[in-house]
Amino acid sequence: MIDGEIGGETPEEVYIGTEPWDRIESRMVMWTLITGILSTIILAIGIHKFILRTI
Amino acid sequence: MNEEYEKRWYAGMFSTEDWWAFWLGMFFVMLGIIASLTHIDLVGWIVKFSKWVDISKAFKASHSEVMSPAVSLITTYLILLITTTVGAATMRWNLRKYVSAFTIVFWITVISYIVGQNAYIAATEFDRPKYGIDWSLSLGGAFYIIALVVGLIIGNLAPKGFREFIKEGAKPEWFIKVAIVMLGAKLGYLAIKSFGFAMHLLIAGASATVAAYLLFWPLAYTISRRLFKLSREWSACFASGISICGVSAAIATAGAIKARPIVPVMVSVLVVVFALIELIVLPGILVTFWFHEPIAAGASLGLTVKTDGADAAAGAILDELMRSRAALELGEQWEEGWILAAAVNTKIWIDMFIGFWAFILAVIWVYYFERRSGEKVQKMEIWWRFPKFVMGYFLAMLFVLYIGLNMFPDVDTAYKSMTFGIKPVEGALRKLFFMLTFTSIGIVTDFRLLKKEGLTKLAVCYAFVLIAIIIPLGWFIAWLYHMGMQPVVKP
Repeated sequence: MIDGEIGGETPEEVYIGTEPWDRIESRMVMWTLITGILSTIILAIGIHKFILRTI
Repeated sequence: MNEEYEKRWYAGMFSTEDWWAFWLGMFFVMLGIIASLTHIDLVGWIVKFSKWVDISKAFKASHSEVMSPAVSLITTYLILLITTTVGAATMRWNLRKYVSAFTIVFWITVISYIVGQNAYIAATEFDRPKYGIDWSLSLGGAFYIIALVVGLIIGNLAPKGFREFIKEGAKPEWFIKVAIVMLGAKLGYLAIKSFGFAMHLLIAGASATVAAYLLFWPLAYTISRRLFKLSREWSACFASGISICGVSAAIATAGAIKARPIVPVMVSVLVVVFALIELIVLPGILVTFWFHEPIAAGASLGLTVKTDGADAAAGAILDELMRSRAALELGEQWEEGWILAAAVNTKIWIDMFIGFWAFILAVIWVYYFERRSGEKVQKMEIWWRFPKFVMGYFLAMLFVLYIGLNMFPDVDTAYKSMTFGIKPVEGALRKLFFMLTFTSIGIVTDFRLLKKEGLTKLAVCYAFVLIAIIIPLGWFIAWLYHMGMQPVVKP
C-alpha cells in the first residue's frame, strides 16, 4: 500500500508561472547544497583562524 | 476559540512534554542553585549509584550524612513519582496507569543500574585494587545497555496487554529532555573552571550543525527523489527526519508542507528503530577507531543519531568507554561529561534549527509549490516549533555559570559551593533520568513495526542514505570543527 504510494507520481507535476516544477525543485536543492558547501568552508576557516585563537 | 488559543505564545505551556521537560529540569536545577547559594541541603536526598562488590555499597544518598541509602532510594522514587505525576496530570494522561507503569519502569531501571555497576563488570584496571578484585570486564556504561536490553525484552516479548500498559510510564523523549536541561547545568558547572573550552565546544557545535544540515538535507532529498523515486511529500519529510532531529523534524516538516498524517508517522518509525541500532553500534566503532579524537567522536553522534534520547544515550556510553580506555592506555583520568556534552551540544543546535527550517519550508510550500495566494506564514511558527527544553538547557547553563562567576569571591570557592548544590542534580539525578530513558527506549521500540506492509522501500532508502551520506559526512564535519579537542584531564 505504502510502496505504491511513495513511489507514485505526484499530482502536482505542473507548471508554476512559466517554469516547470522540476526546475524550481532542482534549483532549491542545488542552492541549498551550494550554501552548505560554502558555509562548511567559511565556518571551518572562522573556527580555526579566529575562535580557537581568541578563546 | 480553540484555534485562537493555539495561536497564543504560551500555548502548550502546561500541556506538552516539551514544556514539562523544561519545568521539571529547571525545578531540580533551581533546587541545586539555591542549595549552592544558601548551603541549605535541598539535594542531599538524591540517590547516587556507585561501583560495588559489597551490595550494601551499591547506592547511597548524594550527601550520605543526610539519610541512609535505603531511605534515599525511596525518597528519590517518591519525589520523581510526585513531580512527574504533576506533569502527567496537567497533560491529562491516565494517572492510575501512569503511576503504576512508572513505578515498574523505575524499579526495573534501579535493578539494571545496580547490576551494571557491579565492579566485576564496570571497574577498570585502575579501579580493581580499590575493590579488592583481580579481574573485571572494564565495561563502563554496561548499566545503560542492561537497561536497554531489559526494556527491549519487555517491549518485544512481553504479553501484548502488559506491553501496552507499561508504555504509559515509559516516556523516553520526556525523560531525556529533563536530563538534557540538567546537562545544561553540568556544562555551566564545568565551564566555571574551563570557560574557554566550553565556549569553543558551543561554537564548534553550532557551526557543525549549520554545515551538516545544509549538506544533509539536499543530498537526502535528491537521493530519495531521483534514486528511490519518492514523491515530494515523502521526500521532504524523509529528508528532514534523517537530516535533522528525526521525529520532531519529520512532524514539523509535515506540518509545514501540509503532508498527510501517515507520512511523518512512517518516517518516525524508521527514525526510532534506526536510532536504536546506531546507539548500539556506533559507540563501539568510535571508541575503537577514533579514540584519538574523543570530542569529535562525541560531536559526530549528535549529527548522526536522530533522536534526542538515543543520541544522549550513545553519548553517555561513548563517554564511559572513552574514559575507561584513556585510564587504561594513557593513564589519564578524563573529566566525566565532556564527550557526552559534545554529543548533546550538536543535537541541541539541530533541535533549535527545526523551528527555522519548518518556517522556511512552510514559506516555500505555501508561496511556490501549493500557490495558496493570500495565505501567510506566521513568524510565531518559529517560537511554537522551538523546543522549549533547549531553552531550559541554555538557561540552566547560563544561571549556573553566571552565579558561579559572580556570586563567589574566587573560582575555587565557587566550584566548591556549586559542587555541593549542583553536582547531585547534574550528576546522580541526571544519570538516573538517562537510565530511565534507556529502559523506556527499549520498552517503546517495537521491531514488529518494520514488518509493516510497504515500509521496506522507505527502510532501504533510509539505510542507504544513513550509511552512504549521513554517517560519513557527519564524521567528517564533526572532525572538521572539533579536531584536536581533548576532554579536560583531572588533576
